[in-house]
Amino acid sequence: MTKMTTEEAFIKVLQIHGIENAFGIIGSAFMPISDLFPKAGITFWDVAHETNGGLIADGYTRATGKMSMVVAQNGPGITGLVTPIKTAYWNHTPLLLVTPQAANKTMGQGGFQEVEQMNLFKDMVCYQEEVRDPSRMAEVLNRVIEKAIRGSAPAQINIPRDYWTQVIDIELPPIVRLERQAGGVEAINKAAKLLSEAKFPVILSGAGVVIGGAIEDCKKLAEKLDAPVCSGYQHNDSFPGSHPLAAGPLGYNGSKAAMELISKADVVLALGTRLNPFSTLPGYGIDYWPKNASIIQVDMNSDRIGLTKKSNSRNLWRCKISFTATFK
Amino acid sequence: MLTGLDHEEDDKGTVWNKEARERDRDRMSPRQAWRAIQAGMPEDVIISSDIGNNCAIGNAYPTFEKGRKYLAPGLFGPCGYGFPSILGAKIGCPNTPVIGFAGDGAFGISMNEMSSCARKEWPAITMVIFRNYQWGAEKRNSILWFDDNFVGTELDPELSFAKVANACGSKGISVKTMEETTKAIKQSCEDQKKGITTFIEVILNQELGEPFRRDAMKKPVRVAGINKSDMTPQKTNN
Repeated sequence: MTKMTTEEAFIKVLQIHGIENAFGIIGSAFMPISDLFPKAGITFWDVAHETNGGLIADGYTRATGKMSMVVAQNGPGITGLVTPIKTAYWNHTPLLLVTPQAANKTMGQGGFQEVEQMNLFKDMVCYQEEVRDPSRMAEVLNRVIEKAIRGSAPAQINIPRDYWTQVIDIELPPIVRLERQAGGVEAINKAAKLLSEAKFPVILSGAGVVIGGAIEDCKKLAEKLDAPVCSGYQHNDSFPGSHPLAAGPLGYNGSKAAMELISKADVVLALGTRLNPFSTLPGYGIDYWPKNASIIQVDMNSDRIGLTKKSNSRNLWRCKISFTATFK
Repeated sequence: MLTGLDHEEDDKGTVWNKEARERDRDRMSPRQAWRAIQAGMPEDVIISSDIGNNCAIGNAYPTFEKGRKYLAPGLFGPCGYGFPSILGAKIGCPNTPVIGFAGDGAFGISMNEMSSCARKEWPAITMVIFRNYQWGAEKRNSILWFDDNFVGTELDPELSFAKVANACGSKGISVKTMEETTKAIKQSCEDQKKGITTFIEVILNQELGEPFRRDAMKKPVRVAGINKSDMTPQKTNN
């Protein structure tokens, strides 16, 4: 056990996770931690509007794969973060949302800059937790960061602002990083059989291929199968554009060639995509989704498997797996 | 396929795009602008885009050799994504050229960040603002399903984003031709290395692309009818 302040505990956990950038507008509700940012090696990017701050954080993570935090003053500062946090949620961006809350001592009396911040983000984050006691600051923060990474989405820590500047005696929590799981033997065998017997397999590569660092794997598999690769809507960077098997993006104003190719598929291997319904709406008058094809869906979130498209082989895989091993 | 496409089509019975071309013969169409932009983009560039007509027309244009290069707003679809997200990308990748894109409607939502990003601690970016003086995607809906009744779709033609940029301490320019556009994109990416942020207003004609939601729209019918004379004044204590 080590004696430290709640803000020191908070900063130490940020350091353990390598969070070097914070985006927001300065406010008294988190000044005990911003005061320590320079000493800790954390850059505070003071923005003009919280909504932009949240979107800047989304852009930072999507371009680098690294996580950052977003923070604001309780009340009106925090409400400005609703739009970017939900944006990051659907962009599958792991992000730490720090919401200092009006003090427990007066919460509920309708004082200054008070709003129920847990309710506010209930549908915007993959996980949220309020610190229930100052001694739990590090434990809760560590869990929230882990949840953001596991869920690949924003996660929220809500902190009654009167919990800062308190002295606690704690042990810093360990990082528990889960390994990304490959598919089960049965699922992979079934998928391999479908693909081996396919007359015209087509790959659909989505955001998960980018986030999972699986572009190279996807390329190898496409070459092995000699299958064209369509990219998911707005994920033009999920497959090398110069590759002979690259067909371009599906969806709104997408590639007509990709649409025509996938319409002829008898097996679709959907990699790292939740198959959002908007992303496969008809384009150029072509209703291209192959309704009779077998669909192999690979997504990190089991809730998405088979949700929007009939799915013959329901595989829950992380994208970063060695596909080639299956097809040797 | 796209290299041969220059213009947007009208649905049967509508003439907006044809008239837009005729009205501003000297201006680029969105597709011509996208081709000019592509011609000037460095190979390793990261780009972001926004929701809206001109950005969405470009969806099929950019291709990349690596991941984490294309930041589009995604499926929550917030207007005002292009500018802040490209700032974040540059903060994360300070040595990579970056270009953000937004239409003049969406840019208005996030343009307050022009007041913060010119400070010397912030890295330099290029931000393209497609200027067609309208909320284009919504205007297309008004044309297709609401008999050209343009409620809330017109933007301020007097506003100069280039002047705002200059006032904020950044570089602001306005381009009208494909040649000027390509040149400005190239120059701005060079300028990023010197710490100069450039806002490029790309002046376009008013052609409009496909509506986002053909699947969700239908022509309304009038049943009870609405009359202005039914408006009831509010009672106040003033």
